[in-house]
Amino acid sequence: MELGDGSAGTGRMRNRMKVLRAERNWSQADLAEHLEVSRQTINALETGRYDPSLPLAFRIARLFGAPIEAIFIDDETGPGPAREGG
Amino acid sequence: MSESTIQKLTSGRWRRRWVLMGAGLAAGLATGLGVRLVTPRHLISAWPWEDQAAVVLGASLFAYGLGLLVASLFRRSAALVADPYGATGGGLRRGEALYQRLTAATIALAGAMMLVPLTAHWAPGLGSGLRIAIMTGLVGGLVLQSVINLMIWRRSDELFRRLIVESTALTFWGLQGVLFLWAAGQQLRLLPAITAWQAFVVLLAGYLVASMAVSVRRGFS
Repeated sequence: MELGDGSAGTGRMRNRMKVLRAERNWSQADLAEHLEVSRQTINALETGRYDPSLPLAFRIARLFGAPIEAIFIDDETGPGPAREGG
Repeated sequence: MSESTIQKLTSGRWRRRWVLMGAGLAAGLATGLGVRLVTPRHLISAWPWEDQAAVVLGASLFAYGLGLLVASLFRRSAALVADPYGATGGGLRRGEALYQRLTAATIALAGAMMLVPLTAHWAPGLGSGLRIAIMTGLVGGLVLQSVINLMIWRRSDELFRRLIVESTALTFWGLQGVLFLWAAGQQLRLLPAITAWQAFVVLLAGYLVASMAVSVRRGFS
């Protein structure tokens, strides 16, 4: 159920959450409120220390109005359009 | 010391770190003094290692849980616990103080329950009626702690649930191997027998180390 966390993949995914959050002038606490998770979860996601479950990834995608693959970047599939977000 | 280092060490993030380190130091000193006050040092030094370890673990957990409980009662300190470095913004969120209180309660209860069996040292002549009463109290405490743990699990988001699961898995994975090797060595008459209390003390210490390692790995530092 998780996007690369503890599965067969070797590394963790990068994501553009910090950039997307900054574009909306939200604090981590604001984003946590929107996603109904703890602020520690947002911090862990943004710093690449935790990859979200599939349901949470979909919630994030819905909130930012972008497809999952535009927010989460799998290093194994090569550079994506949103690579700069890390 | 360079100017940039001084600036770094006096920044807001580091100021909070200093405050937290000071609070940790004060709590540690208070716990140590408290233990020494309740139990004379010469008495503790005569105890077996597992009971000495149980006193340290139990008293530390109890003091930490109590400190966290007190901190969660005040909005400002609860906000500091929820966001120690002020990195996430937004002050104290709904439900965070309650989560802290539940966590504090289960930690303090774990510490207290670990200290209670050591009453055998303080009062070796306890009658069987009293010992049964203490045991009954411990069963009640364990049920209460299980209920609190369940409440914590239900209120946890996926990261916190993952921390719990990973800590538990790491502890089991590590210690069941050690236990197997010890048991095998014991069967082969190569190693001495261990008591359930010794195994439990090692298990709890292992769980604490595992949960700290998992927490740091997930960004809690």
